[in-house]
Amino acid sequence: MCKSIKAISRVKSGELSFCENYKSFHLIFNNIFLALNKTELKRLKDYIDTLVIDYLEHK
Amino acid sequence: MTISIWRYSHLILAVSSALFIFIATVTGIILALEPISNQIQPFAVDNANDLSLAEALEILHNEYEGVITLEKDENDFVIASIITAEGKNDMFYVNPFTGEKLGELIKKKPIFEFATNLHRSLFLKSTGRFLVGLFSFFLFLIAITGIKLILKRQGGFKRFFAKVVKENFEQYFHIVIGRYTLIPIVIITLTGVFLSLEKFNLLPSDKLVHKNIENTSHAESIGINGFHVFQSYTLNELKSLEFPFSEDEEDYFILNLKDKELYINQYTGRVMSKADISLVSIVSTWSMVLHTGQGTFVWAMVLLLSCIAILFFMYSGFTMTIKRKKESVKIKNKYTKDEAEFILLVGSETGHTQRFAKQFFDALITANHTVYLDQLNKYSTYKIAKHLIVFTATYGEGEAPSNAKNFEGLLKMIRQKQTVKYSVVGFGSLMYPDFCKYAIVVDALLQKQKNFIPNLPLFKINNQSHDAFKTWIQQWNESTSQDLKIQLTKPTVNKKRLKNFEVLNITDCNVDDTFLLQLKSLKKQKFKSGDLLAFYPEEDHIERLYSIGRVEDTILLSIKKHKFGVCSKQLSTQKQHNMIKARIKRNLDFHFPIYAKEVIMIANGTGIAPFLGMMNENTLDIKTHLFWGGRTQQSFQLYSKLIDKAFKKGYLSSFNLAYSREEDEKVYVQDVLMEKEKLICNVLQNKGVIMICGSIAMQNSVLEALNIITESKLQHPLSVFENNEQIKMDCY
Repeated sequence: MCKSIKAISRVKSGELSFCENYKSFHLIFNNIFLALNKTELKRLKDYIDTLVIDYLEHK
Repeated sequence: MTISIWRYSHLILAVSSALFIFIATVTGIILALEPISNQIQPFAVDNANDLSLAEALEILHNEYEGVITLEKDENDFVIASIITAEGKNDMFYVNPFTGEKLGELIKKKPIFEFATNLHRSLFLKSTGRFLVGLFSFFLFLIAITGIKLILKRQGGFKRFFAKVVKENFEQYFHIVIGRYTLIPIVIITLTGVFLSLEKFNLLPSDKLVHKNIENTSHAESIGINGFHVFQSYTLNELKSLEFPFSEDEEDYFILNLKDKELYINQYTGRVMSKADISLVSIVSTWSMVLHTGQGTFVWAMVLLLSCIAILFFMYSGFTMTIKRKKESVKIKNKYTKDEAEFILLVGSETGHTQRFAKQFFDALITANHTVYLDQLNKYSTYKIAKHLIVFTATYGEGEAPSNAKNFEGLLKMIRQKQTVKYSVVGFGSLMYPDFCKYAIVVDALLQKQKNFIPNLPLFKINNQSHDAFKTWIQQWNESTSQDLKIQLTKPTVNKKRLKNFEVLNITDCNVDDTFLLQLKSLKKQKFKSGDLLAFYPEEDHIERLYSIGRVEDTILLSIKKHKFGVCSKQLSTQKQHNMIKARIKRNLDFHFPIYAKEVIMIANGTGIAPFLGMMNENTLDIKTHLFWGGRTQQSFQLYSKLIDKAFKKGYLSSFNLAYSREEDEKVYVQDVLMEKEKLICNVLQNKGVIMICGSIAMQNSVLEALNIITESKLQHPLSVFENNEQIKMDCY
């Protein structure tokens, strides 16, 4: 495994880490793995912020 | 073979689930070793449970770059998941006082993985899980029927832990071990059933419901060391603590405690939301702990022993069943009930009594009589019957055995037209307080009936004694002027277990036809005074037991030659250097009590043998008093040498004699005891032990005398001391 991956944060359901070689963020959520660059990560964050969580959780 | 509903269900359940229970038990034994092996790992930290969460977190924060979770596993070891300075994840056992890594997480060994799967689901997924749950429930029922059977056999709750009558090895230990392991087995099975139900979602949901206490607050942020909530809980209550994912205020600490779950604001430390753990999940956690023994060494050991006990129950239970099947006799009547002059009725629980009845039946048939043999429950009219003979055992607290339950009712309803002579033979054991009680009841019931006249008084037989049965046959022959001969079935003797003994010395018979026989085992064997030497004469192979006195590593027996005694006659004709085959039987209940301060030994006749050995073994300076009852002074000569020797060495403190044929007034050993009541009271009060060996008649009179003394002087019945194990008996 790549030695330059650094965990940024982790919880039970997933973790966010950063690979210094490829300058890419690895977002693991349950069985979903996303490799994103800084812009993409920002965009994903913004998108998630727009979601109406209450609605989705109770649908 | 007759069987009660409890015994029947106990057996049927055992047979039907044997294979599954066997698998579950064997894997259970392996799995019980897992918590034991985990517990001995060096990851436990003393007093860690008293440390507050705030302190532990501070230490970890100082030590590591980031902390992700802090939790406690089932063994109470603290686990930290952290991010190191290099940005690497790591999870390990940690010392919460120093933050130091204690070791890598214990990986489940493949053998335990395999055993867990087999134990849980037999590798059959859901089907397997269902089967295991079902058979766990069966085992629970087996345990319950087992408890019921013990209660019946012992005669009530109070006697649950009373002494068990030993019929054979399997039966004895099936009961003795059963009494101690039934409770753990009930717990194992019930928790097992619960865990299965849980897997099939058959229990109410245990989902946590969070109640919001505070949404967002604008209070000022404080460091986590200052969080009131972390200060107020210790590691003892902690299950797990999950740190917030990001620095966003909406991410919070999730704190799992034993009884609740809290969401805690990562800046203010206030509890935002709280959920109580449901009763179902608390029960489920306890079931898991009780079923697997995780975290507790002692309970895991109990589980391990219980599993081994279950294997033993399977072995002993099936051996007993097979033995009983082999020994059971089928009733094959030649004549119908209305053609027979002799009617034999049997009340039997386990089939032993039926065997005696069958022998009598065969003897009558051989003598060309018309006989009809049946169970007491099938009592009916008998047109030409002249004799009714009842053979019955007693079950529980003087109740009827299962195949005699309806007899009382039938007897009231059915009237015989002609007069019938009756005899009742009761079978039982003197170890139970209700010895032959049901036979007494049957005798009384028949006495009340008009058409029945007694032929012989009620006859009681202790422990299936063949000799007693022969005596009864003799009486019966005399009363009916017949000459019946009973073919007693020769029990088989395992010749391999017999050992060779050399005759070292044999004395001539004295006035009472008593002699001393000194033997030496050719092979080295373990034995002590009070153990028994078993002989099996060729004629009948019936076991004869003699109490051993160990004198200078040889076996000393005191034997009375009986007029019709097969074994004693054979032994009396032995010469020096002859070889005799016999077997030593350990009799742990009748060894010299080296823990006691003072010992009183009471014997009559040949019962002195074990004491002759014990006196000379007493090197611990225990005060020992001997009481012996014999016929005349000459009777005593046989033993005087050994007793003098013990006296000289100072092993014997006092010696009291009672001669029943020496003076005008007959003096028995119990009379001498009554004179020495002070000594007896002192010994009993000082936790001393009284040992009795000799004839049953002497035992009864001695116990009566002791009871009078204890009741009048110590204000307690003798049974109090008996229960204290201060009275040891070996009488015949």
